[in-house]
Amino acid sequence: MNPYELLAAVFGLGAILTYLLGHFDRHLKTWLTLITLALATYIFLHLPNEYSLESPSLLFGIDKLSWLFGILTLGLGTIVAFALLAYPELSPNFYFMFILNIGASIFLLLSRDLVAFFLMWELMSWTIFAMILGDGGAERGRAATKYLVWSAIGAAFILFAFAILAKSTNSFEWSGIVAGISQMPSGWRVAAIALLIAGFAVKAAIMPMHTWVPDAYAESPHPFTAFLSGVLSKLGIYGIFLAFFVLSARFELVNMPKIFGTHIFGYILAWIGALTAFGASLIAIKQEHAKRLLAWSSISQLGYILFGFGIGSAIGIAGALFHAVSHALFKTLLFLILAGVIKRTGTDRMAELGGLIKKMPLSFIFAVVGGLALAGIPMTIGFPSKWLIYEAAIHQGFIFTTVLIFAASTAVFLYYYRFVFSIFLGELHANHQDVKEVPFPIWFSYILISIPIFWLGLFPGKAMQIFAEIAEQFDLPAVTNFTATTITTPLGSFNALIVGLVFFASFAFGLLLYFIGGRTRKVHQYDTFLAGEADEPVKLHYGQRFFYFLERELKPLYRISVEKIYQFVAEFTRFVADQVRKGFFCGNAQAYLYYMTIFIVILVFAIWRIKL
Amino acid sequence: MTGQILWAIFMPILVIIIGLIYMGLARKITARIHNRYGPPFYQNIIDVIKLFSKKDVANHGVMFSLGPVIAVAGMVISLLFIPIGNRPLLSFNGDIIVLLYLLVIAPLGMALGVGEGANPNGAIGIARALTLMLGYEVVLVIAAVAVMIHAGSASFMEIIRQQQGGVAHWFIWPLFLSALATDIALQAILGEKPFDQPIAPHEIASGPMVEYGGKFLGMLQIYHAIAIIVETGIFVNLFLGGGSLVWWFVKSFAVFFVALLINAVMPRFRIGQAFKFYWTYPAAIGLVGLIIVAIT
Repeated sequence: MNPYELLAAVFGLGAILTYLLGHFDRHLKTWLTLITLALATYIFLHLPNEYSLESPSLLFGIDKLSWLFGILTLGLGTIVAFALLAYPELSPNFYFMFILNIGASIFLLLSRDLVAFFLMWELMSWTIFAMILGDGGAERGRAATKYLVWSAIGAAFILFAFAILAKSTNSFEWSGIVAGISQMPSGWRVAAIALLIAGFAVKAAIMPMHTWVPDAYAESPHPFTAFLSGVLSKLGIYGIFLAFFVLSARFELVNMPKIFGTHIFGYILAWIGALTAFGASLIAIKQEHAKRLLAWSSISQLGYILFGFGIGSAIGIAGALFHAVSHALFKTLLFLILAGVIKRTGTDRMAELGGLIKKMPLSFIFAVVGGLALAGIPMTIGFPSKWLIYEAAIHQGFIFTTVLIFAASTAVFLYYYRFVFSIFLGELHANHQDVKEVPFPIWFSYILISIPIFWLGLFPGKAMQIFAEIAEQFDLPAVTNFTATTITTPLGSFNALIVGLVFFASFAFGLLLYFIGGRTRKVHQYDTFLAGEADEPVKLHYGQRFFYFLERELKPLYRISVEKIYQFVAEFTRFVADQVRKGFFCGNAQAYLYYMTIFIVILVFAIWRIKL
Repeated sequence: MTGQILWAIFMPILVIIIGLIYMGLARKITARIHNRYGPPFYQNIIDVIKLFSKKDVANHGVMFSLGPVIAVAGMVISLLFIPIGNRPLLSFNGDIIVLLYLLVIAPLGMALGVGEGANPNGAIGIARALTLMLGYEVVLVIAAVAVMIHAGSASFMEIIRQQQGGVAHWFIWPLFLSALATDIALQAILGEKPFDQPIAPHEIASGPMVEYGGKFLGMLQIYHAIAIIVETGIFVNLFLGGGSLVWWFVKSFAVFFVALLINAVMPRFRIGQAFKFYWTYPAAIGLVGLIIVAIT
């Protein structure tokens, strides 16, 4: 049996078996999922280069790019599945959809023709819908419907673009399209690529296609949100990469008008990316629910990736791919931590949480690890990826967008601190006195994700090697000036390992100062200095409207809402349709008689014309 | 190599002492402006020694204790990454952007520590500090991008090298607007009035420092001492051409002195006003400077 068929069989059988046997035992379904994913990972790592199916004629293959995204999908999928061991209450339906979803994602990455790609894209999208919907409920139903509408719009864009590509190049295979695209009329070419990017941008949560994201993330099952944000949004990024670099690198975008040395297409993408990063991070600051905060943060970070693609230089592409990897890792970690917190406390409203560091120290430590990577502190994977994007932007002269991107990454500190403070620091609630640390499967999954976060943070060269190979494969400019620990760009250089080692030396210096000083005495959390504002210990957790003074100043910016525009379009369409309906279905029998007469006259006229 | 390692160990201690003297001089100068007598210039060194010898220090937990430790560690590592007086230690291993991110380690560690202190005053102080940071960081980045484009490099060593050969070569002349914007941002980075909202002793009881006492407060003083040198040092390296060791500290004190003079006569902005201020006037000045650099 061909390994590709075997892989498909593993996913299919795994999904069905998990569904059927999942009804008998609470834990069996998760173990079956893990076995399926382990088998799939093994087969995935041993796939031959090409595989074609005769009827229906579909083409599959693997290259460095699909390998990278496939490893992310399977690796993080397995880790999330491991964390699912702590959620036996999820229904077998969910596991069925989860396995199918990962299978569809993998075959999406492996597909080498338009039909297979689109089928897998749709399967992936529909299984997400089923998982968001879950057991139903008004809120989840609304979020799932919103997701479905957006997903359908995205799919329609993609289908339309595929139709244009297939029609103009007479080929359904990627290779044929890449070869034939230079003969296409330039108008159709640009239209197809713009449509593809718009379609993939829905899944990649790029503004203005992002409105489904906060709702869908907030309502989907908590451990699955980690996978949805960490991995599935990257499939949109994968699609944008295909559309923008694989398809358009061949047709020499250099011929297009240029701004600061970048063709106008890339320039527009960079602006959209930067505005997404900036706007979403400002909105993340004012969220009251932690899941929504992380959802907006995801949108913001995905904007960085698009920004890197838009710059389009060797450093920009490497930075964008690097950020895709690092966002996948740290956002999965942060969402899993939040899932653990919600499991133990039952809420993600930040004002109702607080002080959990005393009860869940492990979760706190990994929340800091995830936050360091999110904020882009050196030593974690978040820094080299952001650093490459900045260097690329400044080097290419993207001055205004660089400022926006920097503002966005400063805003990260604001919402990240709010996240970690409101949940883990501050005062512990009276009704959280008996909260326990998250169970073993969850905290062990934290550790598994943290290893690559630090490993690639200290040795970014390992990842850079893969990005260089990807760039080479698609004839793109590649960053070659790097070693295992150092990356050098035309602007400057960065040695990750030295930074890490020196930080530990500095930390030792800090500890030395700590031990020079006298002994300390542990005090109760209410034993604080309140400047005489309260004479008895009272609960004063600063969790609600954390940045109120900032929100007040940013009000003019917050008023800009793309959702209002959509609302307006919807209202307008409804109004027009209503008027048309009222005009035609007026309830007057005479009018209906007129319609019938006119219709018959047209019919007779048409038949008469055709006969002639 | 041995000399470099010895210097790397010796320099933080030197910088701590000089930074504490800066703080003492600041008290003296402010006092003279207010027509008071003021404490001796070495008062802050005495204060730190006193704080470290305090017994019975209140402690809210492990993260609370680690906060000041990370604050000092983060500042020391930033210090090693900026060239002080033509003596580059690790400046070849990172550039301005690396430094901007290393600079955040210290406040972030401290913020986490303050959080475990569970005092709402501390949390409000941090929230204000972060808001202020969102304000001035944009200005600082606009100016830094202008410098990087002007020099064609993000490396401190390259930027200092291009400014060698006398006062006329300093970047403050071709990049005057960027330097002005940076200096305005520096006022908030240093935490001097009118941008001392995060501390605001009369409103939120010293904000982040409210729960810290004894050796913790001593460590935060040391953190502040290093921070003054690092933050003024960035200005010296970017716009005033670095210089030999003595000259470097003279220039750094001159930058600090300007901030002090403003501090001594200004009241405090409301935090919202401060944020809005940074996103309007200094940002506009910086952007004009940036556009001029980008065009020429």
